[in-house]
Amino acid sequence: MLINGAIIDDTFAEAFRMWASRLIVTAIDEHWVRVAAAVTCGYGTSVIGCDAEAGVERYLTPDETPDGRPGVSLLLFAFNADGLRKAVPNRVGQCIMTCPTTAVYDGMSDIVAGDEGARIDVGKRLRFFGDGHQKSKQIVDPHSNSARRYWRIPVMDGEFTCEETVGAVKAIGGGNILVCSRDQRSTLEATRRAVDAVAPLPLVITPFPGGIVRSGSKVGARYKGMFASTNDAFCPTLRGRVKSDLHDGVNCVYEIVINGLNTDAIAAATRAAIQAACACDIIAISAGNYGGKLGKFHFKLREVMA
Amino acid sequence: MNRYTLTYRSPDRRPALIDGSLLRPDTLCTLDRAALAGTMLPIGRTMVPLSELFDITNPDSSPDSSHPSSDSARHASLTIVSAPPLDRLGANMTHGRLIIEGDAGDDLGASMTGGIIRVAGNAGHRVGGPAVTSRRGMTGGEILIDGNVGDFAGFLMRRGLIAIAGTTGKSPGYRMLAGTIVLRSLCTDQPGLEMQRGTILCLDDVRIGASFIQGGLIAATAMPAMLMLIRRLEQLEWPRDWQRRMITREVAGGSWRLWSGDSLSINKGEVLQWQF
Repeated sequence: MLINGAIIDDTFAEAFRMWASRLIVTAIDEHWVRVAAAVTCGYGTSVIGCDAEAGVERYLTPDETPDGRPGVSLLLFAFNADGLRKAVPNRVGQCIMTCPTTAVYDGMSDIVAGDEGARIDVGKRLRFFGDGHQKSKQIVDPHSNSARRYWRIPVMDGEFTCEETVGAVKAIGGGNILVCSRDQRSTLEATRRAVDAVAPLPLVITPFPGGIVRSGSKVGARYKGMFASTNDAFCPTLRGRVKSDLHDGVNCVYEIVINGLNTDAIAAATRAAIQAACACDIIAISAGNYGGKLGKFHFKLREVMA
Repeated sequence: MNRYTLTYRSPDRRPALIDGSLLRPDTLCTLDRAALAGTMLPIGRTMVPLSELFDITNPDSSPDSSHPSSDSARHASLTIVSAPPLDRLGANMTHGRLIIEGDAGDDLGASMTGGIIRVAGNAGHRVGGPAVTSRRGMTGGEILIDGNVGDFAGFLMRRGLIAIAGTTGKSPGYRMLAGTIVLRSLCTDQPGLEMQRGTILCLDDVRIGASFIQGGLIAATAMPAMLMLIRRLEQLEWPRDWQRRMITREVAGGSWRLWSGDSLSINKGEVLQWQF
């Protein structure tokens, strides 16, 4: 398959089960919203080494947030609900509570605990920072018509408001494409455009720096204790020394990893990314395929683009 | 059949003796029309069927809706029109919407646990206070009043929201345990006396009791929970007179003058007066 002259490899992106939470973070103005988002999503690239994969789903206008201030919707992914139980309160406590003027709300208030969902204690844990001066307030949610509890923790610029619990659902991590081209600059340009095309789409994030990974990985390694190592089949400097999957003329590859709340969202994001990348002068689009060892969700590139 | 309108049509009865506590959307709206008409209401020492006091109309009436489900009661709505100010309206109600197109008597929403009560006119004493035999006032739900109220609104309330657009009598929030009261108009009688916890938001001038300690001027944006409360009232279109509504954006541009109290109690309550 060719799109604008770029080869679409006959392969699939191999994704795996994760759990996700959505946080709505608000602040006094967009500057502090962006600061809070950047800090909360920092060190949130891959669960290979981070407690969670985190990214901005989209920025919100004051009309879209619970308190009428500018905000952002963040998605955080971990291997399971227990992973989120550690990562979410830690990140909220260290990155959002410390950030001037912020407040945190649940972006999945309709989720109840069960097989398909979980509730993660956030305000319920962080309230103890108030040292007995914390207060709670129950306010009716207009959508569900049920009261939601918020904790008001006194801090030096007023109050840090934090929802008692946030929802978590089964989600999917590791959707991906590999953008392959002649040199670093042209490949980077095409990949950035692909990331820009994914950015406005709902229910997905691209958690790596600027949405792009240069150190794509394969499952396993020759060293004990390493469960991921460099994706040598796509490293141009190893061509001739390992079995390479690079097309002729490809000297640079960048990966976009896409985490999403469902398969449709990831497929839509994959499609948008490929279309945007192929609008540039690239040689091929491929995907991280680990022979089924990594996960059960397979996004076949040619089916996605059909 | 989950929405009923009851129009009062018995001016000769003694309205002061009618017990309004049975007029609840969560129970009445699960009944079919015949059962509702036959519901007996106490008037003093006698019982009379509801249909003797009220004309019953149902905007949703259709053959399919004659057997209401318990689920439909979640969206139950009961409107009372042209009735005299009955006492104990909405007492102990758990969910649904009670709309009073007129005045309410004393003990409106006593010990209610959920749902919304909306009063277009005035209400009597102890709005959201305790029901008979209870030592706690309302523990959930929302009471929105467009007119004035009597004394001790929110007496012993534990949770929930009371919003009063008009004037208030003696100490609104008297001995409140927690919850939120919003006062849109001038409050001259020391709100929150002997309150333990809870919040009283004053959007106009207020006369504060001597046992409350001033805590400074806090930017409205520094207390996002209060902005959420104002936003909730905005969503509920309270008060009906839109010229008196406080929109979130307007409130966010001001500040809250904070008083903590009541120091004669455990001093964990707060009175916030909006400043602009």
